[in-house]
Parts: sequence; structure tokens; C-alpha cells
Amino acid sequence: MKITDARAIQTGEKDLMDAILRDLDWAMIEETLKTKYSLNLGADRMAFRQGDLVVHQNQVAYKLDFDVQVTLSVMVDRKGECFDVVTTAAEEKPHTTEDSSRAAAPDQVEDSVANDPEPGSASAPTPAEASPFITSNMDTSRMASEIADLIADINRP
Amino acid sequence: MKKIISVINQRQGAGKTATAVNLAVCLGLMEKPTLLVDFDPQGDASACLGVGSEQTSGNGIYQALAGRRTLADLQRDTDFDFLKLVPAGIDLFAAEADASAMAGKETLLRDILAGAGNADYVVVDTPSSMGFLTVSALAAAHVVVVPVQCHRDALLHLGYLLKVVAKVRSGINMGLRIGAVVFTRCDTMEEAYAQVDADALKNMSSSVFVTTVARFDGLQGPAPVADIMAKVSEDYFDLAAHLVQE
Repeated sequence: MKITDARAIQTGEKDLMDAILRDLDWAMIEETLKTKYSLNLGADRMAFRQGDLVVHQNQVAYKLDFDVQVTLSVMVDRKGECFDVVTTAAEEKPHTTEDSSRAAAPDQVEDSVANDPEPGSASAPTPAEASPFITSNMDTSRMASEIADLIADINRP
Repeated sequence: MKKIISVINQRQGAGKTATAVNLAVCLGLMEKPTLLVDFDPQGDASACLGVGSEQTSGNGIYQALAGRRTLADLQRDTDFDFLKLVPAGIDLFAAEADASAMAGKETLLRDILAGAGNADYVVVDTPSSMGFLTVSALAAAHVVVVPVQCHRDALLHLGYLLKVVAKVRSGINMGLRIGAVVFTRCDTMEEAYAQVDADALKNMSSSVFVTTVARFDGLQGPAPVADIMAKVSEDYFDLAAHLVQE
């Protein structure tokens, strides 16, 4: 037995979600992701997907679903065993290894551009792209020197 | 020819917004028709020029990205005769989600800024991340200005940033260059030499303009307005003059 217009309800729900979204404290969301999940994400790596009115832990709640863009890196040793999984959005943590004789691995995991260049772009990496990644176990002088080389390559005519 | 300058660093606190705003203001004070595009959903650059989020809802750059408004519609005057602003708008957060289904999405901003016909300089402030918005700003730019804090950890992240710049340059923007590296909260180059390797910085200076910007406590509005005689104002004017002359 329909007693009201479904569109009125849907429009009201949408307006409510829009109002909640407008006043969202994005900084607090970023902080929560950082402290609770060790994800250091910028606002443009999060996109609102949908909202709903639900009951959660015995109370009315507004459930806001966000799509979060995170790159995961799986670390595999020379024996083919996975020894770590790192999210590249995580805060840097001190690197620990099980085998002290294992060669030190870079602390920083290479991230990738969120959206790749168009298909058909040059396949061969430029010297700047292919140069060894600057890592935290480099001394400051070497880091600065690598950066100078990177800039020189980028600015080469 | 219009020069598009994107101010980029994926790290928070590097001084992007301060650099973007003060650079744009200095260019305006030099009577160079300039457009400041606030491409950071946080809207801090817009707020620095007195435009709050309540004024920009539905009137920000996202409307151009979504094809609903033109850049000309969105430009607004500022207190500076030669400087206009396209604010961010809170709806810019939606840019990633809406654009993800479109091919060539990274060049959207470039196409939009081609319509900034009245500006000789376009300065783009970007968010503290390396997502769609920042990559779009790289794809649109003629030059990149990189503010960076003068310490070791900042160099580590600068290296990653430069790799991304190289990738964008080889993929979708072959004319992209680093226009300047700006060590922020650093009073002199001697201080920068002390924090970072002097030889490496001098080596870097042969490829790019390396400069410092003096400490500036908080962004209480543009530095030249607060105190045009301050060292920080002089530093930003030097940066602007270099980008005009190169």
C-alpha cells in the first residue's frame, strides 16, 4: 500500500547525504586513517562512493562509503618467499629483517603515479626514471647529488 | 605566450600554498596578468585571498573539470588588479571519482587552462599527494616550482617527486621542466648549504634556479601585503622575477 511518493524519500535521502558530505572534516578522516590504519593518504586518494542510513552497534548511523586508493607492494626475497607487504601510503617504519646477513633493503618502496600516462607513451624509461631510487640509507650528500642529476636530466633540452 | 607554473610537493608542510599564493601576488604586483588556480580541495590558497569555502561551493575549478562551467565563468577578481583567482571548491574532492572513467583524464586541466586567454601567467596550487589532481597539474605545466623544506627527510621525498615528474614528462608533457627549487623556511643559501650538501646544491644550480625563502610564520595573507620590505617578500619577488626572465 503506497502512501507517499518514492521520489520524495529518495530526494530527501540524497539531500541529507549531500549535506553531511559538505560538512565533512576531511582532515579528521585523514588523521583517523593515519592513526588507526597507518595510511597516510591525501584527500585526493579518497573518493566518496555512496551513503546510507543503517543501524550499527544498536544505534542509527549514517554509513559513508569511500573508495580509497592504496598501492600495495609485496616484498619477495631471493628464495621466492614473501617477507613483507607494505602499503606505499603507510608512514615509513624502521626496516627489520629476520636474517641479519641479508643485504639491507631500501626503506622506501617505490610508489607509482596514481594514473598512468596514456597508452602508447614511450616504453623506454628516461635516465631520470631509470636511475636508482633515492633511499633513506643514502647519506645526505649522495641524496642531494642524485637529486641534482635527476633535475639535470629532466631539464635537459 | 602564457606560462603555466604548477607548485608541487607531495609532502604536507613544504610550503606549496604559501609559495603559490605569494608567487602569484608578486607577479600581479609586477603588473603581469596572472591567474591563480587553487587545485587543492583544502582551498587554502583561496582562503589566503579572502575566498572561503562557503563562497566557492559550486563555483570552483571542479565545475570546469566537469564541463559545466568555463574558466572565464569561474574567475573572480582579487584585491590585486592584475591577479585573478579560480577557487578550489569543496566539490573538487569529487574530481578523482568523476574523472576516473574518462580516457586522457590527466590532460583535462591542460585543456581548460588553454582558455585562460587573458593571463600571461597561471600559477596552480596543488594538494599534498601524488594523485590525479597533482598529475594533472604536472601535465598542464610548462614549469614546476618545487618548495621543499631544508632537511634530509624532505630530500628523500623530493627524489620520489622528481621521478614522477620525469615520468609525466616522458609520457604526456614533454615540455615540462623544473623551474625552481625553493628551500622554504630557510633564510639564506648558506643555511641551505649547511643542511644539505653545498657541492650538490651548487651542482643543482647549474640545471635549475635554486633559492631560499625566509621563515614566514603561518600564512597570514600574502607576504608583500603584510610587509613588503620583509626578507620573505624580497625572496618571493626574486622567484617571480626569475620565472619572468627565464
